Amino acid sequence: MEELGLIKEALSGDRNAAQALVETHYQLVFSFILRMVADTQLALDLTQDVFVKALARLRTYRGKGKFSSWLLSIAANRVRDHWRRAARQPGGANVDVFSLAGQDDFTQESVEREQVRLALAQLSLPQREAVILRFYHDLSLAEIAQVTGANLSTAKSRLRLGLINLKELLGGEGNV
Amino acid sequence: MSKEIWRDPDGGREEYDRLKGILMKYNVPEVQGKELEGRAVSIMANLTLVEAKSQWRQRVLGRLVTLLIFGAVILAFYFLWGKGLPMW
Repeated sequence: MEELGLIKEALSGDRNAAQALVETHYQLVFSFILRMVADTQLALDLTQDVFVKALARLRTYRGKGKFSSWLLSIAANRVRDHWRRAARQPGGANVDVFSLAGQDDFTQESVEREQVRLALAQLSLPQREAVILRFYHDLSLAEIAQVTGANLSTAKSRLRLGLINLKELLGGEGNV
Repeated sequence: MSKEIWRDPDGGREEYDRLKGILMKYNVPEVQGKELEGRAVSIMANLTLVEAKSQWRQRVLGRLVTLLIFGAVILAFYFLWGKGLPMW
């Protein structure tokens, strides 16, 4: 069944349609959140929150723009909300940066993976959002602006600054 | 990680693909099969709980509003005529 059909069915109370929507978009939301928070368990919990919230407010989805973008905007808000709360607790907001997952292999691949993960984790939240949405989810600047609730020029400057910082963190040279 | 990777005099699509190539080294685990199904079922169970709570809250709120209106009517009769409820 196509996406719009599933949404209509879910709105009319069909739990199977709602579950199918979750299964279709789970990886998208989970991967976005995981790259934002760099903690698998936290990402799983936040992904659950996002879907519960999205399905409870499915009526507010007007059909403007992609459903996946709508879900990503809820996810972005949930992540921001998480960091706001974490920032109020002593040391809470920095948990993601150096909380290396139990690395027991040191292959070239895993080292590079960790380099990118740590570099992303050190970007500011808006810059990280912009970079992740652009490069991992292939969103256009207009879509990034829509998902993050920023205007186009702000989204553009966040992406640009994010790439400049990423370049420095990954030890690159020249203009990004 | 190669420093050359950041240099691209032309920019554009090629640069985008190159940056994407670097960033994609940070791959995340795929949630699929039984695990995905389990997560979806768990989300649906949570949704049921959230909806039940919301309905219960609405019911309680509805009853509170009814009680308040009823109380206000009784008070209005009492203060206007000092007789409590009319006996018709």
